[in-house]
Amino acid sequence: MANPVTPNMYLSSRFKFVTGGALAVLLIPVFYSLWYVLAQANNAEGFIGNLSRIDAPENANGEFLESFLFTVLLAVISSTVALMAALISSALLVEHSIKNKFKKGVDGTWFEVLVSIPHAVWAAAIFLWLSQSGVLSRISFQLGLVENPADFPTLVRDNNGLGLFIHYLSKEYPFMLLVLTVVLWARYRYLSPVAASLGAGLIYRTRYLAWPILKPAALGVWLVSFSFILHSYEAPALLGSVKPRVLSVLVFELFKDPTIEKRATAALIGVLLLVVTAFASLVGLFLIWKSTRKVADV
Amino acid sequence: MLKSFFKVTAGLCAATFLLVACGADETQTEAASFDPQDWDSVLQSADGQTLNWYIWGGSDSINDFIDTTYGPALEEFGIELNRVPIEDTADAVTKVINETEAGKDDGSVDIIWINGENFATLDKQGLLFDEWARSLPNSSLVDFENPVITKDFGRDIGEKESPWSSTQFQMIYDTDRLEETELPRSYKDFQQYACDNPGRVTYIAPGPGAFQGTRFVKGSLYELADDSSVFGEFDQSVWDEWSPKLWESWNEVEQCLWQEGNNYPQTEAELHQLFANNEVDFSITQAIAGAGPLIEDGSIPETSKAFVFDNWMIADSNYLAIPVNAENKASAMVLANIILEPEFQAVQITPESGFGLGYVIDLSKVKDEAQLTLLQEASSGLGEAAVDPRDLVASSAPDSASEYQDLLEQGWRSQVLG
Amino acid sequence: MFKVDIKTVPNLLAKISLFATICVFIVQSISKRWFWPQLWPNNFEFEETLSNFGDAIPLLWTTFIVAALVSLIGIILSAPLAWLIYNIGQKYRIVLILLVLFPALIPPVVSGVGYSIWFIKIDFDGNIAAVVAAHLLISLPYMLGIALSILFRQDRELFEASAGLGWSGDQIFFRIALPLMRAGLYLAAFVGFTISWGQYLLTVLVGNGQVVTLPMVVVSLATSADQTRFAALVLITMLVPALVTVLYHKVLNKTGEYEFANT
Repeated sequence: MANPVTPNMYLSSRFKFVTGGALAVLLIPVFYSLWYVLAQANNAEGFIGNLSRIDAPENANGEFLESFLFTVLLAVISSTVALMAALISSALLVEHSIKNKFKKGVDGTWFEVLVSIPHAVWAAAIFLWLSQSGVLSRISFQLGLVENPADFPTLVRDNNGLGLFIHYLSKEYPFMLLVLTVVLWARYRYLSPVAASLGAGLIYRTRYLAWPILKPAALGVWLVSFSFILHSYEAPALLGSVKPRVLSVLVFELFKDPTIEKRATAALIGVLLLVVTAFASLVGLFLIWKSTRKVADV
Repeated sequence: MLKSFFKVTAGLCAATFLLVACGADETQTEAASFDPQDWDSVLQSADGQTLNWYIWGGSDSINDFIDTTYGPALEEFGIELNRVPIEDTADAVTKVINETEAGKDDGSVDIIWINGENFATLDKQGLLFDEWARSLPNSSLVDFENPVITKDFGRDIGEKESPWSSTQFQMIYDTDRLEETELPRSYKDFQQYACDNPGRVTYIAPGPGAFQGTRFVKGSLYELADDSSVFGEFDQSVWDEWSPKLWESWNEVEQCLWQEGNNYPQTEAELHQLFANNEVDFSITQAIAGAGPLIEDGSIPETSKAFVFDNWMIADSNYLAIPVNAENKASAMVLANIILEPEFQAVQITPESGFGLGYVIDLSKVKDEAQLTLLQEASSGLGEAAVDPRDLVASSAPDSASEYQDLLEQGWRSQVLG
Repeated sequence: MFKVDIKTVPNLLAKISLFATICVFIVQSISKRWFWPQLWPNNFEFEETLSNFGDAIPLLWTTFIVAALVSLIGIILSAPLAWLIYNIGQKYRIVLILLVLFPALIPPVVSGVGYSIWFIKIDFDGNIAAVVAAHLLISLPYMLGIALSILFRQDRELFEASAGLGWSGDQIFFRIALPLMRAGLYLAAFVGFTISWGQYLLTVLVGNGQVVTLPMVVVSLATSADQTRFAALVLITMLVPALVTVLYHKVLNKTGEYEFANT
């Protein structure tokens, strides 16, 4: 995609000034915010001091590492399972559409509706369905499968994050499916029949044609999903258990306390969370960039 | 083309600005300086103010009670009530701290329903308006010699807090499911009941904002030590002696609890839901009217009733406090005075009011016959779901020094939970 | 035997789960004391229904205004930003993209606190504009991404031809690029609206208690006593974005989904 036009040729300085200026104004709170959080994290006993005291009883009370691992694992596992499901589904759906010569591809309206539903509300719905006193449990009672709520399995507000996993899976899967299907439909629908007529089987086509096309998009949605779950607060507030707490919940609880030490700890954990996200994003963006180049080379 | 772009953008900025102007606080007449000791100047200054009352919004019945009882009363003084519901009183505390830190002297918080550690936090940082609570006309009805009133979690309230109501920790059971004779009457009984009926009891996880859980565990601490006064002043050696035994006693029964102690309800409302859905056999309340208010608002079955253990049910008072940077201090003082009116104190204890917490005025100081009758009638009309006031008095225990709150919450999380 | 079209299965599953959930919440919003194990409620309660929904209207209005402003201002910012990034040299491109992306990388629990302190400092706290700004910062990356993707799909020759005819850069942007980007901008607006509608933490922190949106009340009522009112609010919070999505498809995307992806 060589660009014969010189950069900036279509940009008047007025345009650059106004647009850049608007962005700058909007970003002022962001920079202040960063400075404030870093300053807070350095409060009390300074960065290193706070870091070494992060698990003190009056701070994270020994829960930091557990919280950290729990949150990261939850984000990684949920995103990965959702992605795999979405990859397989999108490939199958698009192949099916091609085979049956659907002109418009897959209509994703209802999946978009699912995606547009706020997480707080969706979490409430999941709790309603799956809790031990929820709808499924009541149906089980009517069917004679359980005698009291405790007989119904603990699916939400459990220590392993199962409820949260179900929540994120059911929200991220439609989102990923939508994006991947769009990408595949745009770029794959002409390639596939051609390859098929040349004798390429479904598996071959999927592996060597669909996958390279999907890879950057797949990495992108995984990254979006991972960051989102890492930062998420609403769903864990409704579906999480007393312990382990997700990092955002831990940070929020600590921030609410007016004592300096707790706020410093909260800021510190927040900074760590930011660093992890930034790192994951950089790695992810690099991988996406690399995979885009590979397709061009082919 | 660019001109129209600019026009649109300018228009949008104007629109946003208008929205901001409309959405922002109503411009107030500058808070006229008033003398807290001169009640007339207080009333004069309060007229026309909007009072921003920051108050825990987790109970709809309490919210309704406030709107219908104090709202109209304040209007008679020309004060408009803006009840700001908050998840946790600590949120209001944080806000006052943030705003003072940022140098804001027309603070958004005018008055807070507060006690305990939240009071301690603001007091320690010198953020509370002082020398007003005993200048209220109705403060003459309060017995300021009574330590239950003058000590908030062991801390002297001075003239910074004005009392509102009293509470006492109680348990709730469902008369449909249990007989009165089967009820546990001590924390030890409770633990025994748990192991006889595995998975059928739990308690609220002690933690910031979940003081009911802390209070329950604290009661069991008193029972272990067979003494509450030893916790009145903070003493590290006392804590070191008793806390291991406390953790041991709750760790022993962990397996018998709901979900084998892997999870606990985090709020009182969650516990009520578990109780109502027949997942556990007991819930708790702090209302003097017992289970009445909760039955009224539909959170628990109509057959519920409150009961107490034989001892160590913690009772305390709660208050109103005014931040030092509050914008509308005069109307805040008027509210605190209204709240101490005998008629309102009489109404607030009944289950029908939706509030159901006890009164804080001293009946012997009420001179008016009619008001006295009101109060006495209210006391005897607490309803079926309440505990006999004599049993309440017999089982009551004071709260401890405020330092134990954090220690207990942190200790529980690290030693008992998980 | 009727043929089950595989393509419609996902759609069908989505529709069923939505419909069932809505039904359950409707039942909860008109009943009281719907305790376990009642499948059909024992006590219906209609008196409060009207007031529950009526009380929700100011909340609905606030949430809607914020979301609408976010989507509107978002596309007004995204379109020129996309054009800027499209035309500017490689060196600055990365910088600009990172600048827009960065706010979305900060955890809301952290950025919310920071923004709220900033707004308190400039005495601009607790109003709708502050909340809109906070929501914008987190939605802009997505909106810009969509705008960029549609811009990059366009044929450069169109721009070059117009330049050859003597049009200025600004003219090319307003008269050619923008109309071409229209479908993408609609999608971006829709995405911005949806993201803002669902925000909780940012509104709680930046709104400072004075801007109250539906998700805020939903979360605080989730474990409260009044499950009836909770259900009513959940319904509204759920149905409005659903409606907006369906409307978006019927009005702004009539030709079929993602038509811009077909180029």
